[in-house]
Amino acid sequence: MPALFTPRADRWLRAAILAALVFVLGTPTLLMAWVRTPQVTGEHDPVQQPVLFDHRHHVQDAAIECRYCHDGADRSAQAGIPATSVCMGCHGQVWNRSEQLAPVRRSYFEDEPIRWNRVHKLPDFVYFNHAVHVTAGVSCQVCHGPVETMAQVQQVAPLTMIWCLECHREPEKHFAPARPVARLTHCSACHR
Amino acid sequence: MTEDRDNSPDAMVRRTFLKLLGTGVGLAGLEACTGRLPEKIVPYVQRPREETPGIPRFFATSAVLDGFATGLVVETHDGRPTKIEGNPEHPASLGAAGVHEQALLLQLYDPCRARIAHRRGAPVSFDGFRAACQEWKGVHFLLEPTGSPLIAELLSKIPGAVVHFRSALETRGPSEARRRLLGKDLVPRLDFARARRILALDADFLAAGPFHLRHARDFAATRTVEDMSRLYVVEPCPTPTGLAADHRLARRARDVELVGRAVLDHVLELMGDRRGIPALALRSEDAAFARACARDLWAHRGRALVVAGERQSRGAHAVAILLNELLGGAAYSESPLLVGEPLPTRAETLVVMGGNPGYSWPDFAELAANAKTTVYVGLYEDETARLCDWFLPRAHVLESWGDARARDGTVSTIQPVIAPLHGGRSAAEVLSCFVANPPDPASLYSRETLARGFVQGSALPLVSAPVRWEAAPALLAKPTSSPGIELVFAPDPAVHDGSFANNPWLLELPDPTTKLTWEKAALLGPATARELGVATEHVLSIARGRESIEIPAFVVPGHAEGSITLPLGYGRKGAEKVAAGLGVNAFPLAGSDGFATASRVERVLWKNVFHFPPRQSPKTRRLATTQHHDRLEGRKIVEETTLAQVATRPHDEKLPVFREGPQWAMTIDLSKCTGCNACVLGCQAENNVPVVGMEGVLQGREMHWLRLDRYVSGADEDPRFSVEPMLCQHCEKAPCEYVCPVNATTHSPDGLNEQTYNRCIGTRFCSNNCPYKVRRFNWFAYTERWSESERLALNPDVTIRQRGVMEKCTFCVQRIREKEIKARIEGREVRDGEVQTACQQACPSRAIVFGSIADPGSRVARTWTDPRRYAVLEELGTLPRVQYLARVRNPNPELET
Repeated sequence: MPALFTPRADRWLRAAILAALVFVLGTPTLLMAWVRTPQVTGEHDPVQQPVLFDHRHHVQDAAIECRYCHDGADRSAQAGIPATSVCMGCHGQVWNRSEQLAPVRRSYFEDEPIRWNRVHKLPDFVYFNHAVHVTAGVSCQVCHGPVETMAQVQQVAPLTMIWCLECHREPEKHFAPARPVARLTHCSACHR
Repeated sequence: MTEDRDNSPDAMVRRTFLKLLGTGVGLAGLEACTGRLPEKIVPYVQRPREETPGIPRFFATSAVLDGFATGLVVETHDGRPTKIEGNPEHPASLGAAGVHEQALLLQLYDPCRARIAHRRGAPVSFDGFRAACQEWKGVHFLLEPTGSPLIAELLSKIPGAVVHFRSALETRGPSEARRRLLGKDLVPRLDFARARRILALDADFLAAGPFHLRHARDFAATRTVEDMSRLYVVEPCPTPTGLAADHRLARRARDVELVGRAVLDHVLELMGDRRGIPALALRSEDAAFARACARDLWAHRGRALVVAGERQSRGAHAVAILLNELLGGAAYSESPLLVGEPLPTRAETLVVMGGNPGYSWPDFAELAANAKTTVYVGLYEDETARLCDWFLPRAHVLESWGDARARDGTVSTIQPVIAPLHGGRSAAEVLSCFVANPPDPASLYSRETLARGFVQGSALPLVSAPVRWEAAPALLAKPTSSPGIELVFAPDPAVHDGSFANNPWLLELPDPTTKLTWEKAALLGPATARELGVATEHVLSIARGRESIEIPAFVVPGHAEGSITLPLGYGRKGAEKVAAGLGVNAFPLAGSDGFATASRVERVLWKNVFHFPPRQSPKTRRLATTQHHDRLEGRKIVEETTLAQVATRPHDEKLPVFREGPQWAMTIDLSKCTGCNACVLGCQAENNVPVVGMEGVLQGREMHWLRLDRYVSGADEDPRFSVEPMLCQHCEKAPCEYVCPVNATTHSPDGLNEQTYNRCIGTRFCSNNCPYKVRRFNWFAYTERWSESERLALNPDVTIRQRGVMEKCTFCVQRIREKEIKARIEGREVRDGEVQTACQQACPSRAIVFGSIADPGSRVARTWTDPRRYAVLEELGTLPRVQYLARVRNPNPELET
């Protein structure tokens, strides 16, 4: 009786097993690598806003401190986006006829909030607290990058868990802390 | 959650599932084609001065139940109320909040609430009502009981108004006894902080009725080894007060008076002055109890107190008044409630505000039908709305301006924490329509008073109330013992008089004694059940006069024999969708007192025409209880001791040392816990714990992170009860952590057993390996069934769990981290007592202590070296961070056999 399988069949089988193995192990590896790519994390992707707001001008030319507008940063979990009335505090006086500021005036007088596009997004199960970081001497730029040089704000950090952990494990590498950094690497520090 | 209570939120046939799966797989590839859709951030246009996004704000206001106020503090996030706590300074709360006060939050967001004002179905505006009502003369107002100075002022300004107050739970006995013995309907002021010997005659003072939070606090303070009180309870159906008793006598409601009378007899004998009250012969077994109790009370005169329950007869109340007079426990003040006319039999124009008399008052339909104009102002379009011409949606108490009085008379302010969601009007606003120059409810009190929540020093003074002994013998006439089974009517611990019938939190809250959820049952003792030939879940047909109901039976050890307890508040037929079809309405059976005699009780049989002979198996109805076994089977899960034996218990001298930094731990004092459920609801509200529905509970899928285990020991007829709150024990050597394949449950350096939902894949290995069975699995995405408005009640500081993940008590980690961050910003350590878990904060009796055992001076550390300390299943070596203090009973040596 002739052999049921040709000698080549063995080779095919081995190749098939190997391919299956590569597929099984490779797919998750690739997917895990993929979600960490800037395309997914949204880094370096300038976000269009309903108002042409230029941080360069406000921070560098007008020398306004970040917390003038984002005033929750050192007290609250959220840094906060300024209310329209904060814009109008200045722009009721200066550039109050500017075409670019028309949406701001409309918002103010029609009592209709401006709907900004979110740039930095953490998942809902992550509880980040701005106040504790800002008061510890972490400057805004450590995480948000040189916003003062951005015409349109973009995310510069991946905001992945490992990125948080890198800093909490070895903070000295990233900035000069004002007080000893809590080595918070346990889950419930952020996940509640 | 509102539409369907059955367990098919994701009900999907296999074919639909495959279709969607195919579509999903096909479309998944397309996802890569687009960038992420940007999420919107919508800031304020003009931010309120005090508001900072991310920082909650707290407002003092009051809840009103049965006419009496309880001070609250409401937490709001971005303008939406998310949590209700007690007001620490308010005398009726002292920081605690009961289940009904806390559940007001979900009631506020209830999607079934009425939205449209109408007249016989035709929409009207509030101004339309205002214009119409100017024509009405001699209006009869039917209000819920209240002590509100604002309402009083408004009512006094309405020309020709006839005012009636009605509570569904009001009985005649108490006021009649007080009027005849004291000359006036005064309110007894019960000082449990001072009392060391207490006799409760069918009075659940620890968990029901006005001021119960304060009573529980005061009573718990006397449950210390140093100077311990002793509680005697005589009651028909086990209640939290009965469970906390040192001596409990299960007697029919109508026999409670007899026991009280016997105690009075013995006290009079001990005094040697009968004061004209004839002696009464009594059954021997109760005679021993009465004699021992009387001696004990008499020995502690000056620090003894007798309380009679609201449903008790005037005779029982007379006994309580006389005993308090003799024992020095008497203290009375004027009633803070407004007094109105007796209930109307005819009214031309009738304005009803809340209270839903159409459900709880069988005569109301006739009254409304005979009236020319009827108006109902209600939260829901309930039974009463259907009987009235006009309907006006009422503003919720969290949406209204107003005031009320607490049981001690303290004037408590009510301020809105959110604008009316459905354009409702408060009772004061509606009454203002009838008044020419109404006062502005928003400017009645100063800002300081509003911030405090009550007017300081406004409690009513005690008045002297000499007892008219000559009136006593007539009140104490021997009650006729009528044969037949007695029916006892009990306001349900969950839905109260039916006003909370649409509240899923309360409906799923296990009853303190039976652990029944959603639908309650007729409760009866084991011997009565045998006599009637029924078992748990058999449907009974109970008749009184011409009225009859069908209700499943539930056999409760320790229930008085010859007595059936019926829950009030179910069988609602209004527009409340959750309440629809749950249970039966027992109000038509209720007498003017809270108990009556049944004319007929029988088991309902199947009448199946296709079987011959007819199948004689009883009709049954499934009941959803969360505890199916209540015996300890000789295991030491709950430890108890007596006052005499406490000192002999071995105890640790040293605290265990774990790691650096704070080490969170909890101690629960079982001597103080009454099993009132406030902690369970506090946990549910704080931690976004979902409601699973009746089907879910029947399948054992309830989600409460904290449950109250109730155990029974001793004979079925005279059992001893134990209650033990059970939550994640945060074991140092946690069995759940070893078995998680994905490291979703881990241990934090400060001793928390962490559950990371986004990592959990739902193997449920952890739950299987947990000896305490405190882990809960999300079978469905329950929160997605919530309506848009109910989702506003969710706590933004806690993750909403997805389907297929495990969850459990986190020691309120969000509160710990919040305080840690605050302390860190201020450059200090977290202070002892700064972190309060939700259960601890809600607890009226302060049975729960939380803190760090790394600090030897902390309150929790001191309890860890208490001789009463024990850990549940200590022998497993799990080293739990939750420790218990054994319950100490203080039995009367005379009654020890």
